[in-house]
Amino acid sequence: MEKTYEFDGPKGKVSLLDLFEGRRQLIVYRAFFEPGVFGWPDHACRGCSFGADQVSHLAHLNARDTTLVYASRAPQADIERLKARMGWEIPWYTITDSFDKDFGVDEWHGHNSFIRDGDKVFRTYLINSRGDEAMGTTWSYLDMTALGRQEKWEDSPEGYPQTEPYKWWNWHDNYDAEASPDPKWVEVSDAGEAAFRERDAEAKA
Amino acid sequence: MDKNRKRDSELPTNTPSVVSPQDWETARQRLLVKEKTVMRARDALAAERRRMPWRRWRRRTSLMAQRAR
Repeated sequence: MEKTYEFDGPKGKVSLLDLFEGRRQLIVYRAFFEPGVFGWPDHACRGCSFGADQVSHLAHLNARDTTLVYASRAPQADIERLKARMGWEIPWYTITDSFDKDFGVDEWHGHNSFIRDGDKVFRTYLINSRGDEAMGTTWSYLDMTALGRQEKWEDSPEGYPQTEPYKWWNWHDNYDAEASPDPKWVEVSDAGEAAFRERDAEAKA
Repeated sequence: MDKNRKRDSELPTNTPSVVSPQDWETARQRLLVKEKTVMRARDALAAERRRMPWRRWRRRTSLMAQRAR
């Protein structure tokens, strides 16, 4: 029988598949927050805390069908307290098994990216060491995923999901309300793009 | 006094030269060529990353469990 990875979450036991929250892609950042780490139990590791402070609003990443979560060995009660203290809202789970060892993040921090096909989970990439310092923007997260930014200009394999750049952008509190781009925004962003193109053309002339 | 305000620290002495607006723009345009090259290289790297093979992952079972299969 195949076993899946098991995490503790705010609502109890969850599997690696649950961490996707129904989305296509998942990024798991292994943060060091556990007994023995400098700062425990008031704080997570300083580097990991530095990283958590630069995580951008997750609505944009989520809008590209991608979920970011943090995972540590500390129990949920400590994670909940830490998040409240530091003002972090990233979903943050407790590792309960060999997940960290199996994915190369048992001794050092790192971002693992996954994609799923139904309930089959695939690991697609790992970024660690100094690679982690660039993480935090929506673009840095999307660039490490299998599907990328999912924008038309990208060189991706045939048939990958892609939409026009700019058009899918929204206010972080408006993605749910607006399933397809507002025509007025499409107009405004087209005009902006045209102006940039014109300026580039003039610069070259 | 605002406790967040720090006293000016000393600037290092070996700073770059101070130039006219035109020279500053010329210098910026020169570096911009390199920056664009790096950005395009990063796009190409990300494109290559999207073509990385995938690996199906399951929890590693113990040796005992593997033998029992």
